[in-house]
Amino acid sequence: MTTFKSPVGPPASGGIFTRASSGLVRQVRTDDVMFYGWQQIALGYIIFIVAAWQFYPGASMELATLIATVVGLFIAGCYALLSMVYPRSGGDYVFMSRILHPMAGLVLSMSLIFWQLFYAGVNGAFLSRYGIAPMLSALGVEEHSAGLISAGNWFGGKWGLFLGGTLVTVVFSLIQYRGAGLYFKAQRWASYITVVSLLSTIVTLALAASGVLNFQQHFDALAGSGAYQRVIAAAGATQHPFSLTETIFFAAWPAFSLWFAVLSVSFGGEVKDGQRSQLRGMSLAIITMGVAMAVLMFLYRAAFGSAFILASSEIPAGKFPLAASPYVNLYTGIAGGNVVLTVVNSIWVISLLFFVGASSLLASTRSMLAWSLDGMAPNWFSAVSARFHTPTWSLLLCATIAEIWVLLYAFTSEILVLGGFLGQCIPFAGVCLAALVFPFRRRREFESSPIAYRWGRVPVISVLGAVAFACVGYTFYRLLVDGAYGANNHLSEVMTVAVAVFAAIWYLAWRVYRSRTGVDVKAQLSEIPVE
Amino acid sequence: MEPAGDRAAGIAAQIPDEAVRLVGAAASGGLTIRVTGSVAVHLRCGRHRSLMPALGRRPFYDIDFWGRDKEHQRLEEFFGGQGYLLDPAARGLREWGIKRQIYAHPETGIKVDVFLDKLVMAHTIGFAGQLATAGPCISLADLVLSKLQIHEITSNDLIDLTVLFGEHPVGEHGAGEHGAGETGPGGEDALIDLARLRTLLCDDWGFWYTATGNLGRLAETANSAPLPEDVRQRVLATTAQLRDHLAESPKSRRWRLRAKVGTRKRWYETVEEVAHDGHSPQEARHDGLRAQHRRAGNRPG
Repeated sequence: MTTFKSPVGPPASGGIFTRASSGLVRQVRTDDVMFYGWQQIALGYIIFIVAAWQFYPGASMELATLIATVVGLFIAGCYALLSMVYPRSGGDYVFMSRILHPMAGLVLSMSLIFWQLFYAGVNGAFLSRYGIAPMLSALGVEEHSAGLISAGNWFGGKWGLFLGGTLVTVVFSLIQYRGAGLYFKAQRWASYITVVSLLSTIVTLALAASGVLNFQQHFDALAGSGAYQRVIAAAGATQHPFSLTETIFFAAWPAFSLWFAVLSVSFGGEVKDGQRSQLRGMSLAIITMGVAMAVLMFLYRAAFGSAFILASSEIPAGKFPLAASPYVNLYTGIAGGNVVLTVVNSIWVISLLFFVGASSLLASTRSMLAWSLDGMAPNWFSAVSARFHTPTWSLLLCATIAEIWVLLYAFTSEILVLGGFLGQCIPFAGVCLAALVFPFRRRREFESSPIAYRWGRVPVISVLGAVAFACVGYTFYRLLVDGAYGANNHLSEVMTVAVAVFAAIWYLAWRVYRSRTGVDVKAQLSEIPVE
Repeated sequence: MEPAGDRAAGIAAQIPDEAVRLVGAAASGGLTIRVTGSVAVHLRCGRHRSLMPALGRRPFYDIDFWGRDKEHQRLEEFFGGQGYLLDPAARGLREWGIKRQIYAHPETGIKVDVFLDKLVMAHTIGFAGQLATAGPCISLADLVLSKLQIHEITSNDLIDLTVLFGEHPVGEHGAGEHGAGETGPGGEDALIDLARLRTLLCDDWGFWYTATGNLGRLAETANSAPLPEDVRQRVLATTAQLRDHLAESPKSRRWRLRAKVGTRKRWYETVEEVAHDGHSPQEARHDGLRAQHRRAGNRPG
């Protein structure tokens, strides 16, 4: 230590304040909300988003991403503003049960959680399929190692998917059992690592796009002379003039990723400076990841060629000249032409796909906690461990359901990537509707709330709700009619309806049970629940 | 029916004895807790405690303790055994990394706040190794620090500091007449240990800045408050001595780096009020408390 005088002098004596009781410093910061949004968004999904581009001839991936980002900001506005009024665990359940109807709240929340748990499990499998497998394949191709290519293919196979899903479920169940505080620390470090890896990827792609690194040459060196052109030729005509309609249709793919940042409301009561952190954190998450997604899409096209990307997605596996799946992260590895760079550039995909299941698990246990504290689920849903004060039984239940989905995804062919988006669109629409009607159905709360902004005489939250509701409704319609998404497969449709029916019966049964035990259920469900 | 004011006064009168009783009962069970906050000021300032109500300090209605995090499960059992119920609003704090327990007694209405290992408020005070004091309270230095860390200081906090500085001088270990090794009749420290203050404040510019500002406010208050002249002079002298000492003391590299940024970056944590009994900040606003609610509380005790 050395003697040193502060360049800023002692403060002038300020005011003296009044206060009722001891305060509390919350530990979840704005950047934690943003990082949570990153994990929910899971930019690694870009791998299958780009692979789906072939189904939308003439679509602009970048414009579609921009559209999804802007709509996402409207949805985030609804969630964040309502979170300022109801800063509670299981946020969306609380909004919808208090503003729309208690039954709507429980049915929509249960629907969301059912499908979140689907993704908690399936995303672990994605870690294997879209993270580990392409990285090992790229390394194998670069090093001419059949063993690495075989390992990559194993991770993309049934047992590899099962291993990845189980790993994510077990690791994050244990971490969240030790406390959400520990989870957020891990998430923070993972996010820092993600940024470094993502920047490295962008630089690599920029070098390839500018010709410093020659992707075509590297690809031909690995796959055989002229292989790049043969892939394009094998697919036939893949280039189409720009189509705004196809672009709008395609926007549901990035939407599927970007919109989920809003689920940070599930821990709304724990956020420091909750009046602003949710809005800032969610918006920043959607904007940063939306921009990152659009930049990557542009660089992928510039570095590998649009015709090549489309062609390699379209041609049958047998015609692709490498013994690996034709994913953009494989191509990034080939473009870099360096083993270390391949590993560094794979880390962000692996990290995000590792954490996205965990973020779903966290949202799920918070909602279960909220149902139980509301008397709409057994007490053991909110029972916590004596040592860590974490919801042990909810966590165990969530992990078990997630593991069942892992098994189904790994060993059956019934479940497609976007299968759960259908069931999650409805709760999104529910929250947007709640935002739309909030100033009218809960006038007193709105007027005395910190969100009583108006444009002229129209409440801002109603405008946000109306725009977001219309966009989510249209997306839901597209999911129903467009087979490319895979959300309208029979199992998804049946499960979407079945979960809603199950939840409605659950609500009615609990309401009758609670009334018989002398609880004034109506009064209880009109109040803001205790944390 | 007992008037609310009489009941509050009755509870306030019980609180210091209840605090000491709880420390003793905890010690019997092998647990270490120490009283902090205004109740500790009352207990540690026997000669001047009468100034607290005379200067208009709000009566006590809660007890703040410092304890050890490794004992958190046993503390829950202990307070449960003493008839205190865990506040539902604080039930989930630990999961989110907040080492804090909040209780209320259903019959007496006394509230208890237990901070574990560190006080995290506008500034953070780690105290894991500071609980081995002779009496039922935390050390005088930690008591002063717990008041100086408050970003939005209240008149009650300034009264507490006035009474503390009126009763106890500051001093250094082995520094002659007022060495910090001096003890009171119960074996407690009789001096506010400068070394402890310096260790924290000269390593954390934000804390130093807030504390310096609060010392300025304390001097202003002491000048204008209806204090006995000898007390006023002692408070002013101690305040000036402490400010000078902090200004001249060597600072850590961390302190110096942060000082260069200054107030361009927020130097304190924002502190929220705990929503007790299931009432949210929003509900409080609905009840007409809007102006006082957000960022209102940041003091322990």
